[in-house]
Amino acid sequence: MEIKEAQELLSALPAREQLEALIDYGKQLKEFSETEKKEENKVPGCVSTAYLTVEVKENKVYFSGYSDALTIKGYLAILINGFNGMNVKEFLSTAESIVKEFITKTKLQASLTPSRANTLGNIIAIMIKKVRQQV
Amino acid sequence: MNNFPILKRQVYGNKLIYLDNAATTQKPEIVLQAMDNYYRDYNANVHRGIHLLAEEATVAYEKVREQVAKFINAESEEIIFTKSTTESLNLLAYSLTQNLKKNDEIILTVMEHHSNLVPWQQLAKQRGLVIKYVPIKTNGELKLDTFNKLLTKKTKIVSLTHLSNVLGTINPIKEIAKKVHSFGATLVVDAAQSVPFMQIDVKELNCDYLAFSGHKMYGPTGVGVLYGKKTLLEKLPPFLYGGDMIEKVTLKETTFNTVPYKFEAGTPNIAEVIGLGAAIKFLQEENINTIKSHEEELTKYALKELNKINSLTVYGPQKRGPLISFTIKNVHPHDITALLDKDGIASRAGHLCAMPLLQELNVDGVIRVSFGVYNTKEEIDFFIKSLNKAIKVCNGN
Ligand SMILES: Cc1ncc(COP(=O)(O)O)c(C=O)c1O
Repeated sequence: MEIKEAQELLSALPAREQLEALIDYGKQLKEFSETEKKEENKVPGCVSTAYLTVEVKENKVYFSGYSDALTIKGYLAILINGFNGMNVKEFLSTAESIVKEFITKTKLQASLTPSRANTLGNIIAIMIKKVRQQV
Repeated sequence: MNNFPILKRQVYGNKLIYLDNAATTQKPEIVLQAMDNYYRDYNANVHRGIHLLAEEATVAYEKVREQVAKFINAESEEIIFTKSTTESLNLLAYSLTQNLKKNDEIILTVMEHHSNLVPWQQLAKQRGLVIKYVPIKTNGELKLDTFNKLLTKKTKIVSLTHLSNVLGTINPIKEIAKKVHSFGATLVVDAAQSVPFMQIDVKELNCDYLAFSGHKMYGPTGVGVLYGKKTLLEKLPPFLYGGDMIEKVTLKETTFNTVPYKFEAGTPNIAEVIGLGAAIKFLQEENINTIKSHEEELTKYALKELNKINSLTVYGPQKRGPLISFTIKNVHPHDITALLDKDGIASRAGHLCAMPLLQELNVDGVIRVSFGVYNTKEEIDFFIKSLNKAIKVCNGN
């Protein structure tokens, strides 16, 4: 699913339903390999434990991720489903602004008390960093 | 009940139900007004100017010192205004350890808030001191028999919480004080959670020092208290240097002011101290014993209702202060608090500034609800309903 799609869906919902929808996204996040749950894949700065890996194949990005909090899983699901298969160059040049718009339009940050820091912004920054390290 | 303007507020279209009182309490109208009046009517620095405003501000500020002293059965000179419990404990960690020798021992407990652990730990590192920790039983009470064994002639300081901000455990300070003093050691009590809940009498507890925060007792942030026995404070070296804490300064030397001023360097948080005075007046008018019974009843009721939820584990003893920490099997605490928030319920999730304790309990995080003077049984019913709904959302497919 495109990030825009999730954005439109979530923006139309009141706070409670929006959070439940985010949790639903979280439940749909694909399994994450147990062996990848290691220190170097941890997302730093996240209040709950979260992992993220990236693989670049034929010039395209493929992420997988995990968190023990469903809300964080929801964020990961939206970003992973939204960006997987995207061309590296396109990802690096557009991802940040796509997420920025997503945050502004959905106002999801405000509805997420667990995140003291800017959770989504933090995750995308790490996604970008990890891709840069691979190309 | 004195009114709390903020409680009229809506949160996501719901009435606010504030169950995060152990983090900070809301402020009654009289506290807000007292601070506002100070800034509008008699804002001036204290202890300095010879003009009417300065005189009024100083009188108001010093009157609060007397109020605090009476409130905990101390003398005025034994009350030092700080910024918080944290600052009070840092002051003690710094000043009390100055004259200790290498390998002297400090006893803490595993249930301490970071603010009563990190300062001692860091100072111990700098000064080569040894820290020993009193463990807890599975019900969340201290293992006093182990404590008795840890206590030796090497023990110089024992510092512990009166009421655990995670477990709700109320520690037997009076009994502990007797033992600590029989070894000639100094007893420090972190009373951040107990002062807003129960009558504190420092003479009866016989602790040497006691620390608490204004903002957890319906007063403003930015003001804390350090109580110390006068004879001990007189010998204790100061922590912060600057204006107001001096008697005489030359280019070569400084002599210090008497207690408590020796420990209050620089312009204090005057408005906040005045706000604290109003908070104490509020607590006295409501009557601390009435508050205690009310909160105990709420806690007992909430415990009973929480224990009906199968997947839920409560931490801490049955007999406790007004707070309950719990976890839910296979559900992350943050997901629950985020969902509760959408129903207007303010609760807390995470390590609650007590990481070592959570390691002992073998959990990464807990959910905590904590009660205050304004909470009601109906609010707890609503919270339990909302919690059950949240668990369903997290567990459903
Ligand atoms: C038991 C205990 N001690 C100390 C503190 C620190 O208080 P403050 O942050 O006001 O300095 C707290 C506050 O959370 C507490 O609960």
